[in-house]
Amino acid sequence: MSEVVLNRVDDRLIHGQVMTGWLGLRRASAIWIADDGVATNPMMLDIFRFAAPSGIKIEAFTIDLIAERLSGLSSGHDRIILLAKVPKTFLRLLEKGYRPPDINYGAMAHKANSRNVASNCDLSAEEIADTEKMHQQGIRIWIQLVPFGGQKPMEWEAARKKAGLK
Amino acid sequence: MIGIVLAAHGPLPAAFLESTTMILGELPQVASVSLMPGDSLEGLIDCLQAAVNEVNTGDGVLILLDMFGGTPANAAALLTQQTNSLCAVTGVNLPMLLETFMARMSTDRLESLAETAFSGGQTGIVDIVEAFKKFRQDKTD
Repeated sequence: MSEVVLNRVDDRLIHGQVMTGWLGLRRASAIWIADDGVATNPMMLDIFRFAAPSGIKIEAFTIDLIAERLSGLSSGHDRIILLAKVPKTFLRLLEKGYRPPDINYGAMAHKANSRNVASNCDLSAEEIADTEKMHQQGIRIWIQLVPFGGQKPMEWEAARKKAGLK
Repeated sequence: MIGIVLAAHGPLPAAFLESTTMILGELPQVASVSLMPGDSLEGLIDCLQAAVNEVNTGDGVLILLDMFGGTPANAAALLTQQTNSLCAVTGVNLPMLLETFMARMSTDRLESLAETAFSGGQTGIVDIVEAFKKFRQDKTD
């Protein structure tokens, strides 16, 4: 049976030692990218496959298709890292019936009107609202770029204050 | 002349250029692109494209990158598939830079400059203790 061993939001998706670290820690064998843009851009997907550690299966699905795939995990044998560029993707998956116990946030780029909530993690007003919705539904949100070094996970409980929420 | 772009995480590209300039003097047709905290992949692709355009005078551009699989290298990989006369080599170090900038003065062949960068970078990595052991052995043989 396949299982998702890490749910992650990172707008740079797969990058260097960062993903290598998580793949090793969670003993993952596959990365599923949930992103309409990458799923419909074969060249971009090719770049990620080219640059990824060997032996890791990388696939990209549109959000509609990945919801379907996530409901049929019993057929495979993969340990999957589920990767999205924005919190909204997980919120939409939640509406479609996929409910992860927790979601890890990694690198999030600075945008107009975004707030810096942790090192390397800037969230827009929309991203903050989406994250808060998932938090309110009991999903643990934690921010940690890399699984090594001195970085400790920052819980949304602490980060949400920096995001301007009470 | 072939243009050269350095792209890497944080302040590395500018620092590498500063150190290279210290040794070789002022360098024309060079640009550097830094991936800073808060930068996106899409933003970096645009910056890299702009830097390539800036240093390209028609002889092509060699992009030197810090780390295979990192966002700067991923962005460069994408550009090499979309644009002709673009080469990219990862693992940039000072020997690679020195070899490349010196070779650029005598070649307009982009592929050959990329080979120089590749080999210059590799031969610049030496385990000194091991190398010294071998050096002494060779001397006594």
